[in-house]
Amino acid sequence: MPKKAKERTDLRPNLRYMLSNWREWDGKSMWLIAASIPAQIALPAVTALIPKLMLDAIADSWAPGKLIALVAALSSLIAFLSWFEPNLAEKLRVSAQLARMRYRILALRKIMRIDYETLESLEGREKLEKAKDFCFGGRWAGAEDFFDAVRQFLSSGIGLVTFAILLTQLNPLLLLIIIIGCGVEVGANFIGNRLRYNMRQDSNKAFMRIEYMYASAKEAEKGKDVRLYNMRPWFLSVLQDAVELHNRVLGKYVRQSIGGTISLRTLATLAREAAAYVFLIRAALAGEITPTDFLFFFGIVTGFSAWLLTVTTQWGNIERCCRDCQKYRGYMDLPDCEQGGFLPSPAAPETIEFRNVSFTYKGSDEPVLRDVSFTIRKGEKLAIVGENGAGKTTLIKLLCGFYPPTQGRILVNGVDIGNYDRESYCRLFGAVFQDFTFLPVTVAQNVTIAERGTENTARLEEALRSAGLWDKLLSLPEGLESPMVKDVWERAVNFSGGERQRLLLARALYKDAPVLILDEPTAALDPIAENRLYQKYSAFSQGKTSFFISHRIASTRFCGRIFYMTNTPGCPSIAEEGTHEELLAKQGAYYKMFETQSYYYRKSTDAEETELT
Amino acid sequence: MKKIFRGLRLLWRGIRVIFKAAPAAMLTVLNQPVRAVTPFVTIYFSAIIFEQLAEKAAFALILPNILWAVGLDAALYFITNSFAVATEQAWRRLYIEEHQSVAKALISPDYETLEDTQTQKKVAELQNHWQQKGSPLIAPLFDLSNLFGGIFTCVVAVIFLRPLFGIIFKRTGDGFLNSPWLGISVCAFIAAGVGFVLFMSIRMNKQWFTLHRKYIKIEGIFSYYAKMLEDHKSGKEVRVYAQQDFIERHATEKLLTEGVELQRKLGSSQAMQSALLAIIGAILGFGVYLLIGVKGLFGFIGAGAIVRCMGSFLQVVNGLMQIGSNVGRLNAFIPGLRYFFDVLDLIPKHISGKLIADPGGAIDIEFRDVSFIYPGQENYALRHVNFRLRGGEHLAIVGENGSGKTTFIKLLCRLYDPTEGEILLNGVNIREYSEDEYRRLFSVVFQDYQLFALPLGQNIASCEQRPPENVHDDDNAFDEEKILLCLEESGFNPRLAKMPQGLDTWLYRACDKDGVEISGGEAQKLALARALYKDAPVIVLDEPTAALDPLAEAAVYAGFNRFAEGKAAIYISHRLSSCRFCEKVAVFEAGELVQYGGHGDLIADEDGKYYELWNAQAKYYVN
Repeated sequence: MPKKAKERTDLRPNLRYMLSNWREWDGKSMWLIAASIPAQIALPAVTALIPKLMLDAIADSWAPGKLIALVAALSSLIAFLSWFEPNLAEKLRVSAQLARMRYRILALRKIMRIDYETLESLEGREKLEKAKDFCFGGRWAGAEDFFDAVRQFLSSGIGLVTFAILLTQLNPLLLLIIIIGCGVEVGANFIGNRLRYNMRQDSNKAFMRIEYMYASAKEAEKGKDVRLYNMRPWFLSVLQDAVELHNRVLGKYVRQSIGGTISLRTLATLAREAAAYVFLIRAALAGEITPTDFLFFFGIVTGFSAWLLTVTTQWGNIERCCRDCQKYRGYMDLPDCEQGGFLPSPAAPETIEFRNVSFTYKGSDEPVLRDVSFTIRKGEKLAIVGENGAGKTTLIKLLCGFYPPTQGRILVNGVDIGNYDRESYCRLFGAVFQDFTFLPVTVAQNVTIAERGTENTARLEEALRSAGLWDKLLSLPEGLESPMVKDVWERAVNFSGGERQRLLLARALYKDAPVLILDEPTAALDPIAENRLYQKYSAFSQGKTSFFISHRIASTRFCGRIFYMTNTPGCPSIAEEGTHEELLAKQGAYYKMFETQSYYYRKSTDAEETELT
Repeated sequence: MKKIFRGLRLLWRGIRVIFKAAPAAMLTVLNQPVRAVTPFVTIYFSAIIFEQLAEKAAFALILPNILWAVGLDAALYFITNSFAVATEQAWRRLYIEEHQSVAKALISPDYETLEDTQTQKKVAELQNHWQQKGSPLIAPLFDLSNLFGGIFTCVVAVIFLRPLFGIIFKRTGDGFLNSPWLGISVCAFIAAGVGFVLFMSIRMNKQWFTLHRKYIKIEGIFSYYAKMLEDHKSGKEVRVYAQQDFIERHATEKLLTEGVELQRKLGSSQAMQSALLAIIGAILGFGVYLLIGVKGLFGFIGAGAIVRCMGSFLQVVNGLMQIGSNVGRLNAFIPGLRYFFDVLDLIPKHISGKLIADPGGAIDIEFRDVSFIYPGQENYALRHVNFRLRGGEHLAIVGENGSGKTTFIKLLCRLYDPTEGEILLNGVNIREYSEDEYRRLFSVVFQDYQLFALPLGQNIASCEQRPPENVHDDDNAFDEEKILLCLEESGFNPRLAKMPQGLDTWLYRACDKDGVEISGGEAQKLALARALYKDAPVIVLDEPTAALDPLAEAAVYAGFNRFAEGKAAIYISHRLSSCRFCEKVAVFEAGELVQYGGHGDLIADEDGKYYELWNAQAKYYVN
């Protein structure tokens, strides 16, 4: 099971993971690599060989016909090789891109299926953020770059060996010198990469800020406050600071690179080339090789150095891909939402019981809910009111099974909800949460979450009517088929805050689940719309068990039972419960809150302004 | 023709920006000749050395050539790589510069210009371009210098091939192989082949872009879902409404069918291009090798020249490939530059006046028959509003959703100018005032107030104008005591005590990984503290208590009287209880100011809107 984050990345399991996915998704493309390697190696070899062959042919005074045949053969060979290799590389690039897409899709699927508690937790969010490096960036994302890195690593590795064999035949000492020269260059490259990595780390912070400031500048909502508070000078100075920080980091990097890495690499190149020239020329002068061989081997030496550099850089790339992959798998290995038990959940719960339920978020030591117990019977209308931070929303999330209680049990029909099959359990609830998202599909589909033609049109109309949105939707040019989400569809409808809340309500009503949960459905509604909702509430919650969370105490009037929750430090829980009348008679905290909210409504018109404390 | 001129003008303007922001980026262009010359050093000297070897020259004679070859190569290597590092960083700088200047361009004009759909469309276009094609300033630099480099390589190569030209058009003997026709037909053959392939390459590039645009659309849908799901807030709905399969279908179905198909086509299109280039290589190779071989065979060029010609020929192929892969995108940088400069060239809709408002002076704001239509809409959002607010007055604004309350405030703060009528401050049209100066009069907390993912203290004191020379002072340049006072007043102090670095704590995690997440209620308190810090003579609160429980709401009500003491104040709320501690109430309905007066007077009018609104809510509280 997951161990504490290890600094070192194990290459083997990640390699195996990526390779097995590769084989599964596009095994054929592996053959592309096999096919491209000979071509990739042959190209520089043939290129080096041509002048030698031609000059030898001329020196031997071949017949023109024979020479033309040689020329034709060589140029078609070069054409074939220089077409074949990039062509395969391109095909492989497509495979790589599709693989990255598949990894993204898998991640998407995972996000929807891990349990909500993990999804929401800081740990889960951080893991996701890291996993994104693997498949959400551009073509340098590990998931995609892996393909090309493997291809180049293999081909240059084999090329290296081939050329090394050619060179050993000439002079092993030369080979050694070249390897040392390349070694220095590789070392310099390594230092260069470190510098680059550090620069990235340092400049990223500044870069994030610059991008953020830019994103803020283009947002109309932010623009409003920027103007109203005359923030422009401040805004520009923050931006300028970030830009200067960024440029300082870059400047330092350039100086260090040129002064260090590049100078070192230049010296290495210088030494390597000088050695190659001297060795080959001496050999030619000694008569060990012909002058045309000199040309050929000089080409091979150059090619060998190129292979060696590619091998090392690509190995670095493969390591990077593995590191990214490790992070990705760190997310993908998170457990899926537990299937729960095997019991199908009841069609409608007769009772819902919280038995001594406490809940503390992971990584926190302050409970957000403490020792809550209650039982609700089918058809009961429950209002939950109380202070900010008293755990109202948490209670709902626990009921929906988003978190398991830290202590205590939640029972539906006397059975712990953990024993129910999750999917069927979710069917019990129709809920409107405070934060919400709409999907980039039609309005109707946002309500029904069903494909066109499979929805229940009568129920859809009823839900929209109950939510008070039917007429508005009919007035749209495309009616219920109007697309939503402006980011995706340019002609998407723009709903106001109140309309959105109604649309969410319609979705909950369409689902027609036995338990209806509304969390602050009136926050954005005006008094008349609020009143209308209250009046319709009994109608559309008819026969359902319902929860109504609100800061407006008026909402309690339509509910048979009220929970008043308090945010007592260390012990947030239900402080009082009963009907509105009972709680008023009790003259406790609920009474006080009701009186507070009622104060200005009741104050007689000509009473003196008294200050409230 | 006109199009070309426009393109060139854009290019020229782009280059000027580059010169100003990151002149080092121009090294990209300068680097091309250096890069182009590099391979010829080896070609040139290896040919000479080859000749010397063939003549069996002494090592001491060859040595200077070795030194030259190695020395020149090393020097060029150093220059190219240094240039490359410098230009790469210059590009990053340019990318930053683009963001900075766009941010400046958007932060400077009035709100109406920023919020305008045309502006937002321009910004979205630029944003899209950034995401898909990268920096608009770098693109022309990159494409053009690559093209330039390719041409340069070809030119140098042709110079090296000169000995060949000297003989191929001369009759050197009998038969076709010795006639100028060999040279002419080979050249014609090469020219035709190259022309055809370039033509195809341009066409294929176009086709590629069309396909790519299609693919981007499909991917855009997927990306939206991905972004939506990454935000954990969507997780509750996804699970309760069992949206998983629905989302997966809508997000991926098209991508996995049409998207994959398009990707494969895009790949084939690219592969086809490289095939075409390879064919050019083959044609050239055949022609050039043939000429070299034949002329060499007949002894018209020496061995050294043959080596040079062969090496140079390979460079011609490289050069042509570079040209071929860039020529199709010659005008591809134009849209990017256009998007970029379109945003920089935004024309402000408001004309700011010169008058300076005195925040300490008397306040008398009057709406005189003000009507307003949102840009691009048909219906009036406000109609014939006449209204007056004087210093010290407290006003509550109520009305149904969409009745024009917030619009009224936006006009008051001059976020928009009225379509008809005028707004006067102390008898002078507010357009006569400098916009910035006029806004010093207002402390506004909108419903959708915005905090910045920057240090807490800076957020509160962001209205502070620091003189430019102090810009680089550390973050404590603000009046810390005053900030603390305002935070105390707004009730944020208990949370502040838990902040790891006090006022220097970064909010949210967008800019700083150690940033702190705050709840909606806490954010609202910060927004309020920011308004208090500004300490303007007019306070506007738009739905400040929507997310608060009744006790916290009561605290805000109580505080309101305290910090609005002696100031003009406007309070917008759906909770009508707020009308009771304001002397005046303005009731909006369908864009019109239908009632205005004290609560007592308004409630007395049983046919009035106020009566309806009040009772809809109050009946639940009055036993």
